[in-house]
Amino acid sequence: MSIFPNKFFLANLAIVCVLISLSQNTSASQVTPPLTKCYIRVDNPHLSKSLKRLKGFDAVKVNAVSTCDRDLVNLKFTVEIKKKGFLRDYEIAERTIDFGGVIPANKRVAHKGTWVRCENSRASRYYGIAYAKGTIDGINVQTLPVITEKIVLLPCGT
Amino acid sequence: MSQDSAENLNDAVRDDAYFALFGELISQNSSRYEEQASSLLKEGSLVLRVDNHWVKYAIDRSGCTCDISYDSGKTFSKYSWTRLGWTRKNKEKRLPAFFAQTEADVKFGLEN
Repeated sequence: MSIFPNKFFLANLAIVCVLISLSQNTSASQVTPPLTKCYIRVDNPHLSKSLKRLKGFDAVKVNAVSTCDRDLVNLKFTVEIKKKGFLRDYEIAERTIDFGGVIPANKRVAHKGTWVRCENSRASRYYGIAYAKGTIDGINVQTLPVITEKIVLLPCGT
Repeated sequence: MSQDSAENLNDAVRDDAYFALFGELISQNSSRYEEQASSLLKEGSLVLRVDNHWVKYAIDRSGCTCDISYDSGKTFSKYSWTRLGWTRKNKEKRLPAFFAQTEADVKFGLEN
């Protein structure tokens, strides 16, 4: 007695295998790779140690870094600091750095200047958002907003 | 030294220099910043020259926008916004630090 019931089943199995294989090849060939490899990394909100040491008060700060494998022209790199609220989140600071001119491919561009002074030590939850606009090969491009990995609880009321 | 450690060290050096400048500005110019705050709250907007840049402040319901001109005041583009709170009292209290922050940014180099 054969393992397979009949030749008809074997033929069908072979056709199904060929179809699956073809569909996988077709879908793979249809995937369009990204034209650029541009990344934004936005660090978690933290309290600035420098300000505390120098002036005796705290500030919440968010840093971000951007890199791109193509030359970028007129990059506008924005970082926002947001605070979690009871009903909704509040923007507490935003800063856009305008890098006029050309930024060579693969150069790391840092955005370190977005901060807000703490008014008191009330615990609040913060996160950051970063996004960028620029021109690559004459085409205006814009990234999606990138959010910090964590929402951080800091002893900083704003 | 790993790249992250080197980056953290650079951040600390940069922050020390930047916040030292911020502290110096807010100590030296506190009365000027208070006058600017009164003027801004009265008029709703204020244009100032900081080093080689024209800086325009505009007050809104809960904060203040700062626009900077890179072409001698012909056009302005949005640079920063900060939350000041809803009340006039909070705005008066927080505006001097925002003026000092913007001046420190310009003097330190807007791309830094």
